[in-house]
Amino acid sequence: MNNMEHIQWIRRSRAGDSRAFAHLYEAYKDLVYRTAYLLLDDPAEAQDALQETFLQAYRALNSYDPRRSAFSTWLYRITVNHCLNRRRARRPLVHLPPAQFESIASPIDLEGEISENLQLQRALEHLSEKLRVVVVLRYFLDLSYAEMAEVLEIPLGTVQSRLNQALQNLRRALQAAKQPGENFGLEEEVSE
Amino acid sequence: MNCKEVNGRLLSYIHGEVTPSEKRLITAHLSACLECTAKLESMESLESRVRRHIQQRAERVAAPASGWQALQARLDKEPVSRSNGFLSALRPPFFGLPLSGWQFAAAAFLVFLALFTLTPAARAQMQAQIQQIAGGWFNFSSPDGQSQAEIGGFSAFTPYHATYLPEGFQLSGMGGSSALDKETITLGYNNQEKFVDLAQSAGTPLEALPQGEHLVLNGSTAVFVEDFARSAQELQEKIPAISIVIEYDYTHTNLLVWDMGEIRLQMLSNLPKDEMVRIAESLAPMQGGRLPAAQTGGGSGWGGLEFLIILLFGWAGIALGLVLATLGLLKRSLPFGIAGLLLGLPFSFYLLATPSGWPFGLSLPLLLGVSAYACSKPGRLKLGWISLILAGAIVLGIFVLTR
Ligand SMILES: [Zn+2]
Repeated sequence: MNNMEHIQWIRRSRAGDSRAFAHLYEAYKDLVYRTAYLLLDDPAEAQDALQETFLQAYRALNSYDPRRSAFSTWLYRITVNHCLNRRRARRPLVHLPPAQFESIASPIDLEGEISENLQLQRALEHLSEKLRVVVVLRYFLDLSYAEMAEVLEIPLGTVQSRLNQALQNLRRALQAAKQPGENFGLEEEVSE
Repeated sequence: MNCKEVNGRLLSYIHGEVTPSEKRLITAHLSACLECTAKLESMESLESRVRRHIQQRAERVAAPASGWQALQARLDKEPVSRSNGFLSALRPPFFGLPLSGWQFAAAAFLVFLALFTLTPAARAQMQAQIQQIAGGWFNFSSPDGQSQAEIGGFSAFTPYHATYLPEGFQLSGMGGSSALDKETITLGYNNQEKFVDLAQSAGTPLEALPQGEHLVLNGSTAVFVEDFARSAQELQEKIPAISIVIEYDYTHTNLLVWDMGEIRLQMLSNLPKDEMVRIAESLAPMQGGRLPAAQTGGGSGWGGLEFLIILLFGWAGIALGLVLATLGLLKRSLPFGIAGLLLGLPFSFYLLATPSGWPFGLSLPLLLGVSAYACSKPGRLKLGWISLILAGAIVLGIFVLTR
């Protein structure tokens, strides 16, 4: 992506040129939409998040300072904040009764890769929000630790420990899922 | 590095987020340790599995094609000025500052507090209180051994008290002022018609002795000024700080000035010269410490709390604060940075209460605040270090100046 071009678009968008803003939208829509989808697990909500993120970005564009952070970092911060607020608002709904995990987690009727992916997906869904966000930022957006720290506004050391914790939790959950009769490993999930 | 340390850093090592020296140490360990190598491989395989899964899942969806039209319809409804709403104004950046609304509020509160403490009345009150608690304490007995007194808040020097006084004289009052550059303590003695006012100060370079009759007092030069003042009014004009007592006769007020080490002593009295010299020669240093509570008629009950406050307001507090702030920057940990700032506050307030130290009292918390802020912002580390070094320099400078 051409950085100079982006700065031009940002400048023109600030002046009220919506075609310039359309360029920014086109450049980032898939990254933002997919990030939102990975955080919210719902295409309709992700679509909503995409709209809200760009609307907020448009409103706050005057306060964006290109010397301080990359536009992408700034935009991801808005995306992540929006998605986390969204998740918090619906929090009671995502807590499924434990019986349901077990039936999903035990790979009796599913075979091979599909089953493994399903296990991994379940494990991801049961990471805490904080841990899930670092996984998405790292493995989908390929952000460096410093960029993640900027997006999440947390210290570098916290990024590192959250990523470590996330992988540890995923490994435990996957190991637990491989052993029939055992729980999904949720009890072992260590919260920060 | 041992296995445990290596394990904790494996992920950062894989991601290339370790320092070159750490990288060398880990590589060396891995080449010799099968267990850790196995862990590295399993970590890498888990990671690539997670990455692949997430990428695949993401690629299954894409932003809807109608997205821009829908967004544009909403953008058109936005006010042209695009001024931020009240709530969005509370999110960072706030007025272009890298602060959120609540951080800004906290900073504003600190500035307000600082400005409040800059008003002379508030400063004076705070100064008195801090010195009451954190200052040094001295005690002394009257020449006849009948009574004892204590005085607090003066730590730059050990004050003197008279061990000889003419018949009927007793301690009538004690007072003082303390500043970063000068500390003064005044003892007043009197009987029915005569008085002795003894001011002792330390801190500034000693001024030249005034014009007058030269004497030798305890081996050093003293100056005696006969009839320094001939009326209460004249005395008041020459020494505005003096408190006039109506019963006294001020028509022959003499002045005796001399130095004892780095302390300048000035004795004002309507006693004759030989009595004044005799009192001056009898001066002895006060004893350190407070009187036992029983002798002062009731203890203050501070105990451990007093000790804690002395630690906080003194060098221990600020030194620990600087150490924590340094750790905060090294570990990039915001809580450490904030702890450093908090521990720096009492010392800063102490400085604010001094006439010449207040600019430092103001800048110290600001610098520590910037350093704390930088702990959480990787891009601001340099700024944090510069602030912390400046804060350290201020503290060191004050330490050297006040020794
Ligand atoms: Zn090892």
